[in-house]
Parts: sequence; structure tokens; C-alpha cells
Amino acid sequence: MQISISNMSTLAIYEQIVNQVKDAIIKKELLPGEAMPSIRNLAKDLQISVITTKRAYEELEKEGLLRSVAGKGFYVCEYNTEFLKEKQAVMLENRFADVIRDCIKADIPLEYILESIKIIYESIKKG
Amino acid sequence: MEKVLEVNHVSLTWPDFKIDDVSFSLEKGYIMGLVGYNGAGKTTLFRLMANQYKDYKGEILIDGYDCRSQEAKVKDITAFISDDQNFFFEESVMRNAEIFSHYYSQWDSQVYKEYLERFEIPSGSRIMDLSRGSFIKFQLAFAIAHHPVLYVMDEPTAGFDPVFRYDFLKIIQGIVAEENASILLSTHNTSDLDKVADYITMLDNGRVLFSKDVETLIDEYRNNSNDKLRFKISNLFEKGRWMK
Repeated sequence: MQISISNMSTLAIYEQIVNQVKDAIIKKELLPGEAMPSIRNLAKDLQISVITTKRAYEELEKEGLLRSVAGKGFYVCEYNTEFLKEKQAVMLENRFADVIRDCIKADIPLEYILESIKIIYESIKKG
Repeated sequence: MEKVLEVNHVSLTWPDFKIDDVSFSLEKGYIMGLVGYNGAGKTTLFRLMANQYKDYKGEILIDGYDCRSQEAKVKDITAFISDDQNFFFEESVMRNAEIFSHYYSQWDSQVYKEYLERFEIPSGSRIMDLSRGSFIKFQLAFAIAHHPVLYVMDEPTAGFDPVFRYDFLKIIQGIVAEENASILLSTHNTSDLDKVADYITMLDNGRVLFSKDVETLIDEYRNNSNDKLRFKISNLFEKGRWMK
């Protein structure tokens, strides 16, 4: 995984690290159980402060993406339902958006879309 | 948290200068920048740590040892690095180490040789023939070889070009990563600190204006400013003036 820090970014440095680690996990560049670089080595490689690196890792730990093992360092979590749910929700939103865009193109009114969704929902639930 | 440096209520008064109830501390494995205008008290504080003046109120502890009453122990575990350290300038880099290493209980000449090599300093060269950059690097090699818990550096990068300063920052970050030591660094060139400092302690007229970690400072800055781009420590000097 390659982390790069941009001084021109409007994001704080720790946010840049958080985002890039997240991306790497989604793209499977970082695998579950994999050890993260040590806080101090990452700070040295990126030429940023240890405190900043620590904040980024702690943020990722809070979101359940990394876990810290006392005396050993940080590891990528095996799985993280909360994070996956969030990602799933985003994907679902995108699929809805595609459908709705098609509906708008076809001039189908919102009431009709909602009504159709209700009917389809009921029929799927009934089986 | 393990405190490597504790400055507790240090005060002293001279006719034209004072240090007024200065307190701050530094944990193991972090870099602290000590900033302030000339005459703020940075160098004086360093001199108190080196026990060059004893007549002050309060106490300074390094790894729990009192700088005033346990000087030998403190010097064993502390590295003082600056432009005006005393070495035998007409003797070689190796000879100096032979002479001065006797003062250090943890001296490791293998480490010394390795770092001289890494910094490209021939062990036969006389101190007086070293460039200023090499002189600082020689001091770093000498310091690392006695495994101090705290490095105290007074303006180590003053007057150096960006290439040397880049090198220097890499080296001190390496010290923190590999030696698990702490670094107290005073500098005028706050752009060095922008990159690597974990804590900033700002002195003004012999008093502590603040002593905070950089993430807190960055947050405060982003919340109180329209400039959402990079936070710079030099901005704090304006704030410091304003706070006076």
C-alpha cells in the first residue's frame, strides 16, 4: 500500500491517511489480518509527526477497520460489518439512482415509482 | 505514560531577563519543538538542563533524575547537541570518541562506527576540518552511540540548506523510531517542525504561552481560520503576539 500526502489538499493529513487506508482495504490491497506499518516508521516514511499518524490509526480503530494489539501494533480487522453495511448502503443508493434516472428519462412520475416499489416489495415479501 | 522530561515550575530572575514558572513535560518516543522569539528563554532552559546554572526555583527531571542534584546520571542519559559543544577540535573523530566515551555507561563503539559510516564521516578526520553539517552529524553519531533517552538540540539546523535539513529530519525521525528516545528541539526554522514535531511548546518572555500536541493545534487552527489549507507553526507566532 502506498500512502501519499498532499500539502495542497483541503483535508487534514490524518484524514488523508484514513481515506487512503480505507480505499486500500476496499480494493483488497490491505488484507484482513495484515499488519500495518508501525506508527513511527510510517511517520518517518511520510515525514510527518508521530502524533498525526497515531491519530489516523486511532480513527481507523474507532471505525472498526484496524485493531491494536498491545505491544505489537495495528492490524487490519478480519471483517467489519458496520463498515461493510455502510459500503452496501452506498452501492444500493447508486443502483436506485440508476433506476430513478431511467424513470425520469421516461417521464414516470414519483408517485408511480413509489407505488411500484411498494407493490414489488410486497410481492417479494409474500414470496 | 512514561515522562522522559519534566520541567516543574522553573523560575529564575536576572536583572534584564526572567524565567517565570515554566512547566511542561514530554513523553517517551516523541519530538517536541521549543519555539519563541530570541530572549524567550529557550537556550537558558537548555543550560539549566545541562546544569550550567544551579540557582533557580523549581526542578527539571530527565527520566526521573534531577538535573541539579543528579548531574552525572542525567548527562549519562541525555545528549546535548548544538553548534557550541566542547570537543577536542584538533583531534580526530575517533580519538574524541575514545576520550569522551568514558563518561557514558551505555557506550557502544560498534554503533558509533556504523553511524559515522552512514553519515559519511571518515573516522580519521579532525573535528576542526569537518563542515558544519558533518559536525552536527558527528554529534548525532556520538549521541546515538551512548543510547540517551533524551536528545536536547539547540538550533541544530540553523543556517543549513533544505537538503541538509531534509536529511536531518529523516535522521531524527529514525532515532525516535529505532531508539525509542525523545527529542527536544529548538529552532527558528519552524517549517522543519511543521513536518515532524509531535508537541509544540511556545515560550515568550520567559513564560509558557502553551504546550500542546500538533493535532490539537491544527484542529484549533482549522476551526478558527478561513485558511483550510496547511497549518503552519509560524502562524502561532502571530497568535502568540496577540495573546500577550
